[in-house]
Amino acid sequence: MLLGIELLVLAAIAMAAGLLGSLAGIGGGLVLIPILVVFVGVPFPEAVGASALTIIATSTTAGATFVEDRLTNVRVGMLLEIATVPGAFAGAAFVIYATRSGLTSLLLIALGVVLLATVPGTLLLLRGKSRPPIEPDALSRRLGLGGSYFDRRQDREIAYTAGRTTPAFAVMFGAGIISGLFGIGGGVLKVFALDRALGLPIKVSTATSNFMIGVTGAAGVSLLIGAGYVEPLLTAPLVLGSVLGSYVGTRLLPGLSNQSIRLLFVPVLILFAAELILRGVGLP
Amino acid sequence: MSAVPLPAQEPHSLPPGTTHQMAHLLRFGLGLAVAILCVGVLRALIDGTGLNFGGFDAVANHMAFDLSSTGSYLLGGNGAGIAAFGLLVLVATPVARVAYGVYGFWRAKDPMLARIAAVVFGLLLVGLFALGPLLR
Repeated sequence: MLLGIELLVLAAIAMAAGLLGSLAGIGGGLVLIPILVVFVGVPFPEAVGASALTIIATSTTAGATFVEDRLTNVRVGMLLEIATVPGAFAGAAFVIYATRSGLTSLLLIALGVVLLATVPGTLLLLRGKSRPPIEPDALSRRLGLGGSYFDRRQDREIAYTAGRTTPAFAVMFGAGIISGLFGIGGGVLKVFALDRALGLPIKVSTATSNFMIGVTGAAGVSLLIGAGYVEPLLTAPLVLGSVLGSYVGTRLLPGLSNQSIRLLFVPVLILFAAELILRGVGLP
Repeated sequence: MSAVPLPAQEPHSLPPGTTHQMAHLLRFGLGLAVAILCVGVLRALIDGTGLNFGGFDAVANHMAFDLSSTGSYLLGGNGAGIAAFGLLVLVATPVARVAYGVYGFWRAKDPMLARIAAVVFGLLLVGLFALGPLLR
């Protein structure tokens, strides 16, 4: 039956994206949305909606574990969601506007540029260097945004402070826009803000970024659902496949080196980016 | 580099029980959504109806759904309707996590963070019930 094959193909694509994304420590959306748009022929807003729903699903499992392990700084996450949610609204609204105005090529080029920009950020973040603490600003002190977590490798509780909230808000708003525009988690940008502006430890930054991805994705996709750009039978197998792929990636293959997988991941991102930009400017 | 003093306020003021319940809520929401999506996809496979692989245009194919139409869509009992309901459960999961955060911070006697979580919750409701339909 044709429908069965279609659903299986979609689930397999999403599973591969989820697997690759979790192994590389990068959201599967970065891989999924170019495949959907370029190779499967899904219209841009439907691909964004489907991708956003897959990242909600894949971030939820890890997010729950990080919250339980107290790696997530829930206070910082909640606070900065005030910036990511309006950013996601703005991004998703622009996708709807651009689609209805015939500006899809602009979205393709922008996605290509974002993929290219992700490459150095991804490689830099993976070093996971520890940094000196940043002096907390007034809001950070008032809200008690610092925290502590138990580091299993060092076998001790590690306390940390949270530094500058204003630049963190600005970068998070940008991360929200990116997430709403392309249905991706924007984790690289979120971790950047948490690491560079607030000075959180890299493990806490990663966990807190993951915590925020679901809410940011829900904000963007709520506009796309309302505007009629989510197709259930396209999205359902993608969500199921990505959950399975991410489960396999995180549970069954822990021995693989993230760094080497990321190095393999980089040329894929560059190829996708080049294809998107070429399509956007009208070249075959 | 001079030592930076830790904030005076005790961090992670959510009680451990609350964070565990928040984690359970996330897992339950995802599990429920996945189960409903599986039923929807299986139903679509059995019915053999639905997807137009050559053109995934939800609007043109009349496959799009929204909050107001999901009830009747679901009652129709077809695969797409059940899948649409599963997707709404999925979207509702992080929204419910924020709502639980309001309760958790309020219970932890942290009114400022409870208010912040309430603002995020309000923004999400505006997106779901006001901004989305406005863009239809």
